[in-house]
Amino acid sequence: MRSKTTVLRVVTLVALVAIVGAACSKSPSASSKKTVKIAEFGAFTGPVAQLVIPGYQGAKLAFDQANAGKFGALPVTIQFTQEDTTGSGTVIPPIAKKVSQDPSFIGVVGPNFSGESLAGGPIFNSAGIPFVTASATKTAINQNHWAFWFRANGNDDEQGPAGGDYIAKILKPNCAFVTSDDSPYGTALAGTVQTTITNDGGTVQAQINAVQTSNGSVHPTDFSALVTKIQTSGCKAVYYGGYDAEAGLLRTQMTSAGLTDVTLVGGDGIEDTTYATEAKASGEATVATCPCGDITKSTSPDAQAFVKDYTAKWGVAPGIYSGEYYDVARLYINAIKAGNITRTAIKNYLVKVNYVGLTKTYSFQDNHELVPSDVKIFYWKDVNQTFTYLGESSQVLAAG
Amino acid sequence: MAVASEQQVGIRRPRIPSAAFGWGGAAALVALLLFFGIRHHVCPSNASAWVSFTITGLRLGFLYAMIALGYTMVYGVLQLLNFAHSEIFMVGSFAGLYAFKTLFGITNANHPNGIGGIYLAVVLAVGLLVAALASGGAAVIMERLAYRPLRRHGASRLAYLITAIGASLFLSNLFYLLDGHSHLGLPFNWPRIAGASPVDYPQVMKKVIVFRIAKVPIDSQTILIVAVAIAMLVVLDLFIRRTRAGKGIRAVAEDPETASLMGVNINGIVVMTFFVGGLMAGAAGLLYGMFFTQALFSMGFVPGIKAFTAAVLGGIGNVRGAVLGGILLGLIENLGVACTGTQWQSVIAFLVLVGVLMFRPTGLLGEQVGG
Amino acid sequence: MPLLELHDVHIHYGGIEAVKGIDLSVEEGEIVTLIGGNGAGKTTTLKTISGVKRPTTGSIAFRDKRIDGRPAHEVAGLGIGHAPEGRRIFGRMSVRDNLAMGLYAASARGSRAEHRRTADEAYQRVFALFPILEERAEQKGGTLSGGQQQMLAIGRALMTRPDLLLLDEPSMGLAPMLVEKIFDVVKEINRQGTTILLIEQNAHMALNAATRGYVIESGSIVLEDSSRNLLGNDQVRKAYLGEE
Repeated sequence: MRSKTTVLRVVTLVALVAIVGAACSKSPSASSKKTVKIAEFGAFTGPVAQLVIPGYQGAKLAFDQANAGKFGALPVTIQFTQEDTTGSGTVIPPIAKKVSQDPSFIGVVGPNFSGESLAGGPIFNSAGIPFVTASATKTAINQNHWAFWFRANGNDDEQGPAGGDYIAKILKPNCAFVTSDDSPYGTALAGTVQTTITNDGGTVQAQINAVQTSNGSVHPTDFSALVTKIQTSGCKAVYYGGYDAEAGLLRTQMTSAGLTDVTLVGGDGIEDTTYATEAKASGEATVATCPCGDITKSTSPDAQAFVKDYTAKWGVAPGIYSGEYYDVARLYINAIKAGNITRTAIKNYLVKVNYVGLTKTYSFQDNHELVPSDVKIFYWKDVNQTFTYLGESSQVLAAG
Repeated sequence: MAVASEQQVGIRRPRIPSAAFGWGGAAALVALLLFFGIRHHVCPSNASAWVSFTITGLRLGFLYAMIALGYTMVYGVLQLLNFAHSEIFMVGSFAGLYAFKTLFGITNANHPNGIGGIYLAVVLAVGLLVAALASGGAAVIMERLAYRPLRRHGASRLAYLITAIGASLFLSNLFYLLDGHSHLGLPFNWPRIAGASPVDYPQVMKKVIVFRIAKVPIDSQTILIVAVAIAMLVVLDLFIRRTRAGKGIRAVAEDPETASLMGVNINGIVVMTFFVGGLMAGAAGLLYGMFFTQALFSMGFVPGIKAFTAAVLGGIGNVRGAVLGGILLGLIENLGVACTGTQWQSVIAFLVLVGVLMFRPTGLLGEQVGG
Repeated sequence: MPLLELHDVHIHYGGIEAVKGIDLSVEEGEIVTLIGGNGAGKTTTLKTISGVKRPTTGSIAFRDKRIDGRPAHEVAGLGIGHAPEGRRIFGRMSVRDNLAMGLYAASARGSRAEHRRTADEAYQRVFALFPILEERAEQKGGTLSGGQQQMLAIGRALMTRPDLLLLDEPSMGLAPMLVEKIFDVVKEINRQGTTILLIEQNAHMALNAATRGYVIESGSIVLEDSSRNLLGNDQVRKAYLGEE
């Protein structure tokens, strides 16, 4: 009896292993060219994945086009991989180590978020692998002076004032309630917004770090206490530093508590379809800032071609950061095309790069931030449950 | 035998003579803090803010109470901390969601303003029934597969605890994987039920403001939550106190061996306990999901921890204690926020728990089922 | 045909053999006592009869039907009442609810009205035996004195009108006067038609009440005789009656 069940168990186990093994093994594609790998670090699953996928799809498009010879002959084949961090700073370290220790990886796209950038940065930097983000916007990341880090976009010192100015100069509420989640991105952004509104002469009630950010296991849904706080403050504008998953719920709960005349403003973390679908009708009139424009509105032929190719490949229009990460991928492709196929060579290439991409011009300062004159912040507004492009911040503010 | 002779005289807790001073002191401290808080404009001075926090607290408290019952009853009968109970709650939430969506075809797209009248009552009743039964069933299956083998082999407490954590991770990850894609190398797609992203909860009952207390709007779903919770809690209390099965549960909680001498089938009582705890959690899952507009594989974690805290606060193993603990916890963590920030919500809740346990280690009402 | 018959019953606790092949029988209407020292295997034997423990080998028959290996809750429904060692009353339930627990097995079948009738009859019967329990009916079991708790434990086991009552050390921890009183009731119960298997360390009281007795030492029956003969037996007098 006993031995029979044991045999059965062993047989079942062997069969399972065989099934899994068969599914996992893939025949390597025959290719005469050497292959180098570039990894994208970001959330591919979990509650913030929707902020990463459009950018990934933009980069993937560029790499596929490069391998197909669209940008001229390459000395190597580029394999672009996904490294799923779920957007969490606690998940990234082992994955970052694994990739850093594998010499076939010569570059990293991302990490997508500020928290994971801070957690993964030391690993990438000491391994000497370049890592280029277009969406981790917390300003203080540059304080680490990592030689191999690059930010191919504006940071929250530029995004925060745009958010604050919108409230103080366009909405002009009796007072603004500034709040945020507990992420490095959200708290820093809200802090900058608070300073901006105060400097603009507005009244601020602040409660920063009020909400726990979603990750793999935690997903706060109950914002009743925060809503009551907002209600008590009587402010007619709320700034939320944080991400869409929480912001959408906060917005619906504000509306069902009767705060229909209170406008919500946020950063690039809320500017996507998840917010709009979660908040539904209550999201109407929400404004988000983003160092990302609407590439589909661009008149440049390259951008229009990109929109066409992207839509053809993925079956959807480009989304948040699709164009920006396409540009990041192009930076890598240009470096490789110029013969730089080691980590250090690519880093040295990026330090001196001057490239006109789809969304802006890329040239880095000594601290590896973009040259400020190249940075642009844009406003987006939730109209009929989709974020609609309002325009570049300086123009919108000037128009009043 | 030592255990037996202790139980025969009943557990007499040492009475702390200064208990009255303790409670009085705590009340005085709270009053003093409030007085200075309001005077220095740290705490809101208008009544409507306090009413608002109270209502938020009651709503959450009743939900905690419903979940806490499952923890407390299972602990009472098996001395097992069933940490997978939070996932039983999650299962109920999804079951209710699909009852609305699949059984009645109600989505937010086709019914943006919910439904009304008798139809609403029917849909809600069926939804609650489906959610409760799904959770009850899931709890029973879990008991069979995860805990019964341990009991048969007389496993240690630690083995139960680790199994409970394992069952919790298994259930939440199972729902994470049920996203319509292929996983674990299996050559078919898993059904699309949950997945990594939140699933929109059909608002069959639209949140409309029904009346106001001190200018604070009270919405229809809050009323529903409180009404359903009170009804179910009363029925459960009667069940435990009055019925034969309820007496069996109390007897097994107090002394399983003697209960079996009386003809109580312990396995039957254990299954019943898991089932009843599941029913309550499932109904709570539907109400919670609908109120907060979504269901997600990880949604059980936070309310689960809070409900467990509530059970300990009231006295784990004690059914009325769990109800009291749940309502108190909901109130404390929301009223505590009034003078601080929302990031202190959980800190305040756990501080109060630690404070109560320092003076009453067995919780507010003591550890017992029924009583 | 004996009411209860144990044949070559071995019982293990973990790896240790606590009962080493005993034979024991109880005829209808008897009071039979099993006497022996601490750890001799008395309580183990009783628990095995009522199904709390399983025998390793051997057979236990009640009214000629095998009951060994059946779970306790099933045995309880067959007409065997058990007042366990240490009384084990439900301290957090009222006296009335404790007695109601005694009817648990019987209340599985039949209509509500029948239950009500059986219950009323059972309460009256038990309250007639132990009037103090009626006075204290609404009190929590845990607040009763030791003697009252023993009465409650016996009363609880009698609720179903069992054919066989298993009594485990009813005199334990009680004052001599109370012990006498309990034993008077035990005899009265027997007179009313209940067969009794009694375990005692107080061999004197037990043998005076019983018709027959067994002496158990380290898991084996060493003597079996009528109570009168056992009371006269030198070995018993020395080991259990404290006489020189």
